[in-house]
Amino acid sequence: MNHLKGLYRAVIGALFLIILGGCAASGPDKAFLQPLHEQKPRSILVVPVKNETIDVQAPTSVLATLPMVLGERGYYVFPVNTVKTLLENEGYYEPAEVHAAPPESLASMFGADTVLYVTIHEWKSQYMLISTTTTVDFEYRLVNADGAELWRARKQLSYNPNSQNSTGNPLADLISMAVTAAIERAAPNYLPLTRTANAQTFYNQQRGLPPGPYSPAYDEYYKQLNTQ
Amino acid sequence: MSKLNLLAAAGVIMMLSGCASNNGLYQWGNYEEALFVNYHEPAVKEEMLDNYLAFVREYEPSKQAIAPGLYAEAGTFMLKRGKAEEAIAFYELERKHWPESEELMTTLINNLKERTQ
Repeated sequence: MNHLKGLYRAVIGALFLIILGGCAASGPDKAFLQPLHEQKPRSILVVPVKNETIDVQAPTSVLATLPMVLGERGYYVFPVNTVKTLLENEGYYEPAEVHAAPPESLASMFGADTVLYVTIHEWKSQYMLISTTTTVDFEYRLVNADGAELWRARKQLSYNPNSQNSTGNPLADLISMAVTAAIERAAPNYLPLTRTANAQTFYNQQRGLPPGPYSPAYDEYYKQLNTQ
Repeated sequence: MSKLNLLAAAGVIMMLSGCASNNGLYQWGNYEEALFVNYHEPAVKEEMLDNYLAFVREYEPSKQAIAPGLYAEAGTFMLKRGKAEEAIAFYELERKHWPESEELMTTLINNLKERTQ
């Protein structure tokens, strides 16, 4: 019995260590994040998304998903549709023109600490007979109000409903695959995939954005950073 | 001993959830959907925007604050509908809640006031 107790304790102890290790080993990449740690920006101006694909819905779809993920990270996010409208009033109708404008003037026009540029490199669904694979590929670039690049990331992600689950019954699988392909064709899984790509990018433990000033994790994050 | 075990297990669970949890800082209403529909589905756009405006108007301060930018977006939607005074009221709410927005909101408010006078 004592022997069992010891084993139990050892297992629990090992679990604690694994979990602790899991959290600690995935600490921030300080060299990569140094510009952000120095600037500690409070606000992000998300400008219209640049599209390098032929899907005309892609850029505004991606734009719609960005405020939530960045706001919940603790930053003030400028209202994306208001920003888009104001830029159009100023004659910037094409996102590519906005991306080519000097970041300093965009930041000062809106009073923003940083400007976020997102480019869509890929946004497609490949239709096979019984399955569809949806792929997105985004590039993210955060630039300081003085024009210096603070952070960048690239994320490619694919989703194939078939790879998710199987009933163990080949005929049932075949029918359910046909059904998922139909659903996928009608409404490809772009938005959930885009949200996942954003979350994996911005919340990445090593190279994601540090928590912003409205995040409850903000103070602890910088305290940890300074004691290490 | 069994109490200790329970505590240990609870500790493990708390740590696991501590690594992953995100309870959400803000209320967002149907903001993301409203944006999406505004850009892509003109047929139901006005209805969706009505729902969005109702959410923002009826928001009552609680533990979860209304998300950044949401008042300002409501202002811009009102402006698109030709209602400058209501737009100004929303821009003022945005400025009151978020100091980061002060510069932009003040510019918008002043321009609109000049225009309506």
